[in-house]
Amino acid sequence: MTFKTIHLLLPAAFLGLTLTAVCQGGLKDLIKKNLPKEVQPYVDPLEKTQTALTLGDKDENQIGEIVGVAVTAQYGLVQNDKLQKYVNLVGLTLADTTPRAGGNWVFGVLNTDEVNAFSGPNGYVMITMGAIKRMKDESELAGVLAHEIAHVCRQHGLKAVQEAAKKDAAFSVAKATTEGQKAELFTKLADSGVEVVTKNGYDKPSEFDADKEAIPYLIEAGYDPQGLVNYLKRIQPEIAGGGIMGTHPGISERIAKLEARISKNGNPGGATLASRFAAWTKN
Amino acid sequence: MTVILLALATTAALAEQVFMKRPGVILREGPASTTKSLATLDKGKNAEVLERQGKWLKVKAGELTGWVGAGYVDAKKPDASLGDLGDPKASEASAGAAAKGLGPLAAKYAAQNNMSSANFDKMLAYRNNVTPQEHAQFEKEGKIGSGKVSK
Repeated sequence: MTFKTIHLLLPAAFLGLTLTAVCQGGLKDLIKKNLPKEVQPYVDPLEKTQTALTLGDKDENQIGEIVGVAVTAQYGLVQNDKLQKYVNLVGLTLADTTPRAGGNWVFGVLNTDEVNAFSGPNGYVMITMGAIKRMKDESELAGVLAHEIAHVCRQHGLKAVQEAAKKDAAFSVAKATTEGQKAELFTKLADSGVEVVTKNGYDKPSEFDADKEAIPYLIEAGYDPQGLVNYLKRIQPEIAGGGIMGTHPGISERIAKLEARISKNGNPGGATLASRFAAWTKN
Repeated sequence: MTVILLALATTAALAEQVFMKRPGVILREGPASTTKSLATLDKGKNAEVLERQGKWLKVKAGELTGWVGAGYVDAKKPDASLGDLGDPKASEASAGAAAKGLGPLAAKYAAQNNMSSANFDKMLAYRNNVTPQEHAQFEKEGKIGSGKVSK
């Protein structure tokens, strides 16, 4: 797929409005500041850079849809209603502990022995059967799903699309005024999204960031975050041989950083649920 | 009299107003993703916060009362200048919902690239088949979840 891209003008008026809004607040802000940390309104990490590329909220969902269509078309879905339900139950439990609780979360199991997991913008999370076969308990499944959920919450997919867009001066959202131009631009953006998620993978900083973000999701949901480490360690020898988890580089570094962060959180432990995992995943 | 006025003023000040940050934010019956969707709220729609539970807020939006994810609201009204490439009418409900089919540009892209959306549609169906009762039972049995079930 080809990358053409986009240059976007930063509307000075919009920036001015944003700054004005931030400076306002008074009593409302005072009340807000005194709220417990866990109920503070969530700030999208993309928000500060959103003006650099004027993709709207609905564009994020449609790019996510395209990623979901591309991945499920490529691999197919496991024809196992029980397993698909189980992965959705674990995924939704985790999603409800994130800043995007109640959002557009959809989980699926892909029919391939490859070991991998994918996420598309706005909540489309897919894991391979090969990955599930290598897991020992529910905390490991939760760990991988939490990592992918974190990619969505941190908008790594959309950021990657934006980065790809910045490298190509051929397109400009500002110039895309007709429906035809908008459709053509969307095609380029969707190409970038599919390329990033299914072929290139997220960059290392995004992977580390997703691990970091996943830990509090797991802890709040009551899962042992060590499950993610256990899983990564188990598949590490296979990765050294190449061919799997191709879109998730830097596994040694990820393990080291995860262990340090879990330790920093006081090794909280939590549910592992090996028996339940075995019951739901057996054929 | 002064005390009453002060009390009224305090009550009014504590009635926190928030605004939807995204289009199509789902107002749900309860604080869980599997509970019934009551409505989708437009970007910029204001609501009054009634209660908080984990990452969820119980809000009153117009005549409707329900739950939204705390990450979908903000204390300041969002700027409306950010446009979408997609047709706003056709994709209005897709951003916050368990999507109902592809948006218009996504559908066109899939067709142009000979991508079948059959598996994607099936994946959506799997997710939408999870009931709130199953979800609550699942969390209760595993002693997991964000606090909405007794542990």
